[in-house]
Parts: sequence; C-alpha cells; structure tokens
Amino acid sequence: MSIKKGLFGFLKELVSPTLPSAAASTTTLTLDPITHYTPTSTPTSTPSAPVSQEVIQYVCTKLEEILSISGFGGKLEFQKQENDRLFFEITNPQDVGRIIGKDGMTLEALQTLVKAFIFKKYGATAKIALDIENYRQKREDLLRAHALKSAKTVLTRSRKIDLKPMNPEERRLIHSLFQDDKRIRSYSVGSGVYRHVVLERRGPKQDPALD
Amino acid sequence: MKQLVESIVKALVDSPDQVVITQTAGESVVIIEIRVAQDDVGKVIGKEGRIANAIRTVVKAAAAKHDKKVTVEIMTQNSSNSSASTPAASF
Repeated sequence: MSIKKGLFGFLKELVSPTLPSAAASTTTLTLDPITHYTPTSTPTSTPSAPVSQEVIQYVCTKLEEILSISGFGGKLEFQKQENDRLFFEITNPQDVGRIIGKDGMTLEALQTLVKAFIFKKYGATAKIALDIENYRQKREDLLRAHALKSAKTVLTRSRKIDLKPMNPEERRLIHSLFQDDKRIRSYSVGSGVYRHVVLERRGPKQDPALD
Repeated sequence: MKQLVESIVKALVDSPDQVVITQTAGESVVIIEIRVAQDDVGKVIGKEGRIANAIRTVVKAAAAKHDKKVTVEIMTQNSSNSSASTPAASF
C-alpha cells in the first residue's frame, strides 16, 4: 500500500507513451477509476495511471486469494513497471519451491492465470512478471551460464547442441547472448512446450541465420 | 482443492453462477470436474489449452503440498442430453 503513491508518477511516465494505441482496447479499464484514484502532485497525470493501480489491486487480491486457498499463504507486492510490464513479487509464502515448480512451471502457470484474469475483467492484455525470492534473476544467471558452457562445448567438440526447452522469454535471453557472436549462432526449433534453442558453430559455407 | 478451482474458474468466465465444480475423492487421487456455461468452455480451456494446463499446474502444486494427486477435467454439457457429460479435455 505504501508504495502506491511513490509509484504513481513513475507509472504515469511509462504508461503514457502507449496510451494512444492502447486507448481503444483499454476503454473498459476506466470503468471504476474513481475508487482507486490517488491524486498526485504531478498535474500532467494521465488517466491510465489510476487504471494501472486498479489492475494492480485486482491482481494482488486475486492472487493472494489463490495462494491462501492453496495453503501457501503469502502476499503479492507490486514492484515496478518497466516497458509496459508489471512486476510482482510473492512475499512470505510457505513452500517457495512448490510455488515455483519444476523449471518455474507453476510460477508461469500462475502468471498465465493472472493474465487471463486481467483479460477477462478488463478486456485488455497485460504483460505480467511474477517473481519469488529473486527466482527470475537466479534462473536467468543459470541459463546464461549453461548456454555459455554449451557454446564452449560446441566450439571444442560438436557442431550442434540442443538446449533444454525454454519459454519465449528465456529463449530470447539466449539468442541475445549469441546475437553478435562470430563463432556461434542460435536458433529455435520445435513447437509448443518443446521449443528450444539450438547452438551451432557458424560455418563458412552456412547460410546466414534464419531466426 | 475444490474451492481453489472454483476461485480460479469463476474469475475467467462470463457466467460465474453457472460454474459447477465437483470433487470425487479417492484414497490418494482426487478428481475435480469443472462444468461451465457452454459459451465459457473456451475461456477455461484457452488457446491450445493454455489456461486449462495452467489451472492443472497450479492445482497440482497446491495438492502436492497436501500429498494428494489431482486430476482436473473440464466437462462439456451435451446440448441434446444435458445429463450426459463428457470430458472435453483431460490429461
């Protein structure tokens, strides 16, 4: 709650550039802005800021309800908005491992549900990132380290290595690692949950990457 | 578990009052059946079953905490015979 006001100006700034394009699809978001509207000292406040506040409030309430019924407990705290993405963190739960799930499966499922809730209630899509005990950063570091290690193996031993299946965001992370690499190229193969990154040595006679 | 599924499903559908969740408890396996208004079935399943799978994953995690195994099934009401329900999607 205490973060509400402080974030307000911050939100406004990030939300406003996308407003024109989003205006049509997010019209339903203004249904009940008054109850959650917190006036700011900034006079240039855009109407989208309180909307975000309402969405944030809804997400927190709903997810806390789910966690509580599940027996995990804990709170959901809004952290920041960055590039249109809303970052939340689950704090003080029981059984962090179970909430995360294998390879972040459960955390991702919760994220999917939250997005669906928002779409249902507001008729607009939202980018959401759920985190718990800094899991995202740890996972990112782990994936990065593993990819670099695999890349080394590609260069010394084999021409090609298939990495484990990852979600789009994680694959993007790997691709960005090798984007400017002269010796390794990365591309994705497979579909659905099997889609994964392949690391390959850039050969002299190879066609340019078709990512 | 039933309550959890209900809380999730009701937030996804247009007709929350038509949501019926039934729970059949075996010794260690619990079967949860979701019944929603016909127009809402798609919303609960989602594109490529994404929502349905997310519901299963979350419910399974919650059930595992209580050492239970759960199967979640989404049932479709047969329009000609509303008493006969068949699983629309089950894993």
